[in-house]
Amino acid sequence: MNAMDERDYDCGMVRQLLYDYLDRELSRVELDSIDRHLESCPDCSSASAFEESVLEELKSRLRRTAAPESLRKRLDAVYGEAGGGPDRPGSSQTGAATPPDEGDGEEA
Amino acid sequence: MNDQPTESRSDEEAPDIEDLLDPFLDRAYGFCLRLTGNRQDAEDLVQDAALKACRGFSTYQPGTNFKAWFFKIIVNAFRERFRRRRPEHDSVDFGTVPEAFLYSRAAELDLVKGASDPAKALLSRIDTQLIEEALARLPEEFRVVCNMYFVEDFTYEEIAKMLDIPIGTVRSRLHRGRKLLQMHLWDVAAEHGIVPPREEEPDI
Repeated sequence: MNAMDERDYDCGMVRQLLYDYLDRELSRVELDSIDRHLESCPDCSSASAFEESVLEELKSRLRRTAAPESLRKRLDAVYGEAGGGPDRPGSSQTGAATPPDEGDGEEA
Repeated sequence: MNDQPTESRSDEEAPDIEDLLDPFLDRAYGFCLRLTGNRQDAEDLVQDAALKACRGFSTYQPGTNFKAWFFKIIVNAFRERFRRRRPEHDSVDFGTVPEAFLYSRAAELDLVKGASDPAKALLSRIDTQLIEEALARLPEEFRVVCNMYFVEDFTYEEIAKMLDIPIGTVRSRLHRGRKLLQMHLWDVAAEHGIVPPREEEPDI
């Protein structure tokens, strides 16, 4: 982020950045600063371990959904309907890897 | 050795959309299920997205991230098809949503005292169906981003590209979505008598 991130973080700062820390979406300097804090702060360390475990548990539990056979049959019909046409990947004039139908834009 | 130029390669060499989609079909369906909230709508959405993908398959560049390409189509199809059905959520005052709600509340109530992995011990009391329900309660803008990140493992950058929003917006929605999700997890667990209801916090 910037030079001030080389300072030691306090508990408030660490809790505020905890999700970005767990997602590894911080600079090396920020990650190191938080690592140093966690090594010396049992409460933040427990909070960090708890949040990490919540994330892992959610990921593991939410990935167990299987597509039903009825959907596979519906898709076979879609492929059959679309099959044999001239539309092949990479053959677009624009060459852009852009999905069709961009839909409505969203606010930034 | 085949000296043919790339542009004249035969159709047999081009990837087939069925082959590209099949490895992600379970995930695509799960994603749609969490966006729409019911199985019939989820099937309709996957079918709709697959049809759009077939029609626009020429814009897919072989070798690029097919999953990201297809999931972007899903999100656009979802917005087109379902946005008007759902009422806009009331604005949420995130100043009232505490950080690390589950951690604080579990510690406060000594719910998982002595557990080697307190988070796992707490979540093991909550059925997956209830976790899905908590996720479904998130406002759409947070639900989409949280699903893309938690479940589908897209990076902040990939999500930003798929949704055409700045990376800072992804970060902010993910952060707020997580805070809300923790409260919703607690609420669904409380509704089923798994944990005591939260009392003093405002209804979010």
